[in-house]
Amino acid sequence: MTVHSSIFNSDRNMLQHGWIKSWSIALVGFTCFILLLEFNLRETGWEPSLSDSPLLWSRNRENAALLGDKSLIIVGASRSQLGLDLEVMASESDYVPVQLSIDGSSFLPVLKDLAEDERITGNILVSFSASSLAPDESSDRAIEWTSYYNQHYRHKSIEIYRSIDALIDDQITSKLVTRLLGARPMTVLLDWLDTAENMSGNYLMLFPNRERSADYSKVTMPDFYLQRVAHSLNRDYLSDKRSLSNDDLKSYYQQRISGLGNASDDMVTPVTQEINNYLASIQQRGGNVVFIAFPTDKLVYEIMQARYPRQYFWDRITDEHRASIHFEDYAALQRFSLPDGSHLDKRDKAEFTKDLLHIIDDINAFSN
Amino acid sequence: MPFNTYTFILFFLIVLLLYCSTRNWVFKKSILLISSYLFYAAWNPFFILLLFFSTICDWILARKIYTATLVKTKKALLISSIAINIGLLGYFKYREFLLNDMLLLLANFNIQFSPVDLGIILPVGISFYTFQTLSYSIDVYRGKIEPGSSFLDYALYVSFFPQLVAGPIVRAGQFLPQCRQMQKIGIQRLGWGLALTMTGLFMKVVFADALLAPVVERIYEAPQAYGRFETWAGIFAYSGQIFFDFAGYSTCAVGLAYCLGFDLPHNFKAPYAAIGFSDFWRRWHITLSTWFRDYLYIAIGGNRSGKTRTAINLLLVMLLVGLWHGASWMFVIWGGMHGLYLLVEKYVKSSVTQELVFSKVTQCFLIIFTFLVVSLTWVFFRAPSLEIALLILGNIFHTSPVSAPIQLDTLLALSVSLLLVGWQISRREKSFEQVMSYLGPMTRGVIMFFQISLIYLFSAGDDRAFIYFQF
Repeated sequence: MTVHSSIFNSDRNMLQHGWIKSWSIALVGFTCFILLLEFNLRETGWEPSLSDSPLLWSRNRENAALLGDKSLIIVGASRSQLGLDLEVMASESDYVPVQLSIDGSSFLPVLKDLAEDERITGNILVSFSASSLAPDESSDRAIEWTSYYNQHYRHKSIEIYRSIDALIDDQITSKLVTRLLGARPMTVLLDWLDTAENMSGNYLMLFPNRERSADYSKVTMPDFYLQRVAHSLNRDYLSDKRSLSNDDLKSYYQQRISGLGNASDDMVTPVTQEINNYLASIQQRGGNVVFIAFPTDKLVYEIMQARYPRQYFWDRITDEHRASIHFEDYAALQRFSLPDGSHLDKRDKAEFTKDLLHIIDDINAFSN
Repeated sequence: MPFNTYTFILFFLIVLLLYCSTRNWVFKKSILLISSYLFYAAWNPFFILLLFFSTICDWILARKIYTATLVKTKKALLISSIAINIGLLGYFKYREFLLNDMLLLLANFNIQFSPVDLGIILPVGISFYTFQTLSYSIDVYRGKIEPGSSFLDYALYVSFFPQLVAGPIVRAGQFLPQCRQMQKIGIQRLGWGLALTMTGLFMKVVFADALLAPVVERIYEAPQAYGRFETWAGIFAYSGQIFFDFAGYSTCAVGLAYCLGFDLPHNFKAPYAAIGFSDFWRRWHITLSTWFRDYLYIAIGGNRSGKTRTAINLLLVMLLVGLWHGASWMFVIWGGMHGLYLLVEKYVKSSVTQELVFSKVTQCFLIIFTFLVVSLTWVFFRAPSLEIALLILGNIFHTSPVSAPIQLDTLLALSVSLLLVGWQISRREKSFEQVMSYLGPMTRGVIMFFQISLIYLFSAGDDRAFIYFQF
């Protein structure tokens, strides 16, 4: 065989010295730097947290199917993800809780997905939100993630390395704050330049079981609350704030709320029919579905009341289903203060979960 | 599994440990072969059957080509090898593309036809390893190499995991001789190999993915929202992104192979400092351009059959270079444009004096001109459709009616891309090894500290695949 000489050796051989020293400097320096950064970030309020993803959701979704009738599946959006303590649920009930809520999305696609899966035989808690009865087909994450699960994860067409990598990544990210997406130097720098405020750590944390915690002591109030109000009103908080003090802004929003009309309830009848079909499939397999209206308060409550009056939405949808819990009907669920008017603080979620489980027991919701 | 994953780091550490744990060269090579198949199976276990099929076909055919006495028989066997390899590539990579175009054509004649969807997935890296096996058969046919006597060596040549899915495209003549004798892996070799790997990862994770890709994605997703400045920045950012992404992968491949005792050819040599387009193709994806030159351009006549024929050959080869990158007309357009540039350059070169070409001022102008044209041509490579490509090119001449404010990350991306060009111009004739050799162990250690720290910080929460995996 003709031997073609490798022309690359000559260059590479020039560097065959001093590598132990180079690597020692690099590795020792790196370890010290990360330890220092880790310590510093924790001191300034940052805590380890995962980033939610279709893969993490799919792992939990698969778990819901594998657990069968032992599972207690939670479907909804941020309110149910932040408001329920899975550890408390597991210890206070005979079920294994599985968190399938997806932040900022509709509960309908997930409920549909669960109804269509013959393996789902457990009980389901649905966090009801009238504003999500018509999910946006092009942007709703619940549609995207359920389709990812069914197309890739369920039929094992996902690349093997991705599953392994996600598992390792979750382990590392849940322990090291320096791996947190929000703590990346570019993100911190750009956020800082954008808001010209010092970051006081991450107020939101996501755990491997997809439970979330919100620590509102880390955010600036009432700005944060007013941002939530603006969000609920589909307003741009920053441009609203330009010329107004916080008190003026509250009055301004109050004024806007008083002018709010009801949202169209045209979709309620078809959605009720759709939900009935899903429930029939789930109940046929021995599962129960409980609809829950999670608490809201202050201006956010007023917005919800104005836009989605209970009698036009909640009452019509839950009328035919016995198992439903509206926070307005239970004093125990109203006793918590919601810092942003819409979500529970991490300090309250264990108590809230216990109260909710007691109510579920009292109304005998899992009687099927 | 891509190199920028935990799974790969774990995989490589295990392979390295096993590899170093034995002194038997055959065992060592067997470990590498099994690891390479496992590496490939991490995408889809079915793919390894394809890899094995491609390997065994050319192994048998090359031996038969070598032993055949009649030229006719040799030719027939070579054609079989080409047909099998191109057939595999065509079926897995271009079937949908050809079918869709055929359906469009039939629809023009009011003929409706609905083919069965076979759900074919493109096997990662198929364009790379089929080109390697093809080159082996062609080299044996041409008498450049003798078929190897060890199937283990040959199978390792085809599947060697550092370069299996995105090159460099290695020739049998470069790789098989290295399989004959065991390479000693000392601490120093390992140190340099790992440093190269980390440099490649740094290019990919920090520059390509964290600093450039978000800007490019934003501008290509909604070009109508951006004005002249942002569009130019997006175009230059993509020039930087594709270089850092692909050169990053190649550098990792070279580094990993070096750790295991193998030398792979470099794929890039300061391409954005090229003086003209022929020079660009001598510096960009070198192992692909030399493959097309040696096995196609020369085979169809090269520049030996007159000016017209040379022009046709050149254009044809560049169209195929474009098509090699993917089953889309956008890649064909991109390749065709480069073909045209090469033709014009050939014509201009033959019409001007050598003194003018070699003057410093002309060279500076040509470097800037080449980079500008190459960057603008990348628009066709990156844009999902011709409409988007033309919209982006339109935006650079007149501001879109709605123009988003210039963002900080855009300025950063633009600076990174322009600094890359500046760096390449200043190190035009030097290899990375030469640049590193000027530095002492201490300085190297400090550079590596920054690299590893930035990789760690910038790699969270994003998993953009290497661009060249899709080819």
